[in-house]
Amino acid sequence: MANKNNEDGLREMTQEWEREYESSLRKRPERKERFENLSWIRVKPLYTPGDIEGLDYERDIGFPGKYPYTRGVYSTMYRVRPWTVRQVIGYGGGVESSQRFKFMEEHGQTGFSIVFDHPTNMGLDSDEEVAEGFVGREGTALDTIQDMRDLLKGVDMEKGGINIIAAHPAILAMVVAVAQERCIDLINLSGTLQNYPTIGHTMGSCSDIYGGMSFFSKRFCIDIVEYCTRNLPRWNSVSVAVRNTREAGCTAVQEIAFGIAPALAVIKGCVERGIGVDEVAPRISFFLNSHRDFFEEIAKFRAMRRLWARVLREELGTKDPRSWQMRFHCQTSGDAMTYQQPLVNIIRGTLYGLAAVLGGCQSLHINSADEGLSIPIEETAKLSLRTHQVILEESGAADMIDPLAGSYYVEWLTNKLEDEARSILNKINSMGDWWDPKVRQWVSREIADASYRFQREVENGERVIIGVNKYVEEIKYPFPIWREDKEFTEKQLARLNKVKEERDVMRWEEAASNLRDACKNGVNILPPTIDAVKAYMTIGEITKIYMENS
Amino acid sequence: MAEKIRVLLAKPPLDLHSRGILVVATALRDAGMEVIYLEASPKVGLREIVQAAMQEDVDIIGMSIMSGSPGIILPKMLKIRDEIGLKHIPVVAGGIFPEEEIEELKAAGVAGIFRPGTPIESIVETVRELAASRQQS
Repeated sequence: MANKNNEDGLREMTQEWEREYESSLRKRPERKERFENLSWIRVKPLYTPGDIEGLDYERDIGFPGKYPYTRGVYSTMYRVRPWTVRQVIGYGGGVESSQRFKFMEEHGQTGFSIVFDHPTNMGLDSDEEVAEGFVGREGTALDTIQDMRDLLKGVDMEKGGINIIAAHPAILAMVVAVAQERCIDLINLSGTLQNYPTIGHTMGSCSDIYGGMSFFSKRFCIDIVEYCTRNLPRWNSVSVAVRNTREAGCTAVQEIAFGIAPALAVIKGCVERGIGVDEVAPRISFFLNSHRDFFEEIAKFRAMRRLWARVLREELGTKDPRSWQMRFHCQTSGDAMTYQQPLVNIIRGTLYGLAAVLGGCQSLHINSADEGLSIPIEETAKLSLRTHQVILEESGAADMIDPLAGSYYVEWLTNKLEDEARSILNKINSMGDWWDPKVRQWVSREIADASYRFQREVENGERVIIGVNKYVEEIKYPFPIWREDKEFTEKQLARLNKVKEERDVMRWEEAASNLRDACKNGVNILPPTIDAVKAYMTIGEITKIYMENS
Repeated sequence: MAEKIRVLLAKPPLDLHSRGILVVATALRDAGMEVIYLEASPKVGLREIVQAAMQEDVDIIGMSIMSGSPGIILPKMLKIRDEIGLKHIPVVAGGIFPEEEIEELKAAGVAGIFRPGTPIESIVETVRELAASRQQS
C-alpha cells in the first residue's frame, strides 16, 4: 500500500510540475519548436521514475560482466583495463603506414588498426586502370605479402590485437603468413577482420556494391569463420562495421538493428555449415559509431548490448556467456566532423569519445580535427591520443563503471532504443535475412531516406551544425592540411613489379592451381590462400582466381 | 517550355562514399529533373560513364569524388568526353577538393565545383543554369 501511495503521490507531483512548466511557456516559449534526438525520438523536458515504471534492476540492468550486460561486458571494466587506444592508420603503403604507427605508439597508442585503400578493399592490384587516382590515398595500398611485412614491421602481433578494416580472405592470409614467419603460435594471434555481408564496402556508402561482382560471398565469409574457429581461437572472425552504415546516414536506432541483423545472418550461415552458435558467437565483435547526441549514444551502446544478449540467449538459446557479450570497438563519427572551422572538431571528438567511454567500449578511435578535410597530419592525430588521455587520466569519467545507470532519462532512452531496434529486427526477419539482396536493398533505401531527411533539416536550419549553418565564418585553416605524395603510385607500382619479377614462377603456378581446385571443390579457401600469398601471389591475382572459379 | 533536364550522376570506379551524391540526386529529382545515377563500380570506368551520358542523352554530368584524386580523374574524364565528341555536355563535380586545385580544374574545363558546405539549392540552381544553356545551344 505504501508503494501505491508513493506512486500516486509521484504522479500528482509530476502533473503539478507539468502544469507549472506549461504555464511558464505562455510567458516565454521553449527555445526550439521540437526537441528530437537523432533518431527523431521526441525528448521531454524532464524524466522521472514514472518514465521507467516496470524497469527491474536485476532483470534489465544488472551488474557489469553479468547478463544482460547493460552495464558492460566485463566485471572490472576500465578500473583494471582501460579501453584500447586504437586510432586507425592507413595511407601510402606498408612502409609509410608503419612509420605513422610508430609515431602514434610513441605518444600513447595501445592497439593497431589499419584501413586499406579502395583498390585493396575491392581486391584489386595498384596497377589496375580503375585504381588510378586511388592508390594509397584513403588507406594503405597492399598488393603482396611484402607490403604486409612492411606494415607489421615493429608491431607486436601477440599484444593489443590487430584490427583489420577489410574483409578480403587474402588480407587475413597475409597476417597469418607473417605470423608464421615470425614463429608466432597462431593460438596467440589476436585481431579482428571485418568479415560480414556489409551494406557498401566502406564507410559512408549506403549502396550494396557487391552485387555478385566482388570477391565477397557467403561461402568465403563462413570459410573465414570456420578457419578461425579451428586455428585462430583469439581472432575475431566477424566484425560488424555498422559504424560505417551510420556514417552513410542511418539513425542510432537503425545502427543497433543494422548491426545485429548481419551478425545473426553470419551465425545462421555458420549453423548451416555445422558450426555451433556457441563456437561462432563469442568471436563476433562490433564496430560502432559515436555521434552527435551525447545521451542517445550512451543509451545506444547500453541498449545494443542488452538486445544482443537477449537475442542470443533467449531466442537462439546459446549457453556460453561469451556468446551474450557484445564487445565493440568504436570510432567517433566522421560525418559529424566539419570541413568548416576544423578546430571545433576537437571539441566534438571529446564529446563523442566521452560518450563511447560512458557507453563501455572495448577500444576506441577518436577522429581528428582535420577529419572533414583529409587524413590527419601527425599533430592532429596526436591530439586525438591526448583526448583519450584526458578522458581516462584527468576527467575521472572512467573511474567507476557505467555511471549513468539509474538516470531516469538514460534508462528510459535505453528501453526506447532497444524496443525500436527490436521492431526493425522483426521487420527484417519477416522479409528474410541479411544474405538476401532484397533485404539489403530495403536497408539501403532506409539509410538514404534517413540521410536525406537529416540533410534537409540542416539545410532549413532545424538542425544546427556549428560553423556550417550557424556561426559561419570564412574558411581558414589553423594547421597545414595533409597532402598526398604525388609520386606514391609510382613507388607502389615499383614495389609490386619488383615482387612480380623476383618471385618463383613454378611456386606461383602450383599455388594458383591449388587455389583454383579449392575454389571449385568447395573446400575452405583460407589454407590455399595462405600458400598463395606465401608464393607472392598478388591480391588482384587471388581475387581473379576466386571470381573465375566459384 | 523547356524539356525536362536530364542529369547523369556518377562516381569514379572505386569511389564508394555515396552519401553526398544520393542526397544531391534526391534534391535534383525533387526539383523536377530526370536523374540517372551510376553507382561506383570497378566495372564502370570513366569511359563507361561518358558513354552512358551519350546513350542517355543527358544535358549535364555530375561527378562525386570523395576518395579519388580529382586532379587525376577529372582531366582524364574530360579528355575522354572531348574525344567522344561530347564537349557540349558540361561536367560538374562535388567532393573534398584541395583549394589549390580548384582553379586548375576549372581551367581544364570543369564547369562547376561544389565543395563541402555548398547549399543544395545552389547546386540545383547551377545544374539548372548549365543544363538550360546546353539545351538552348
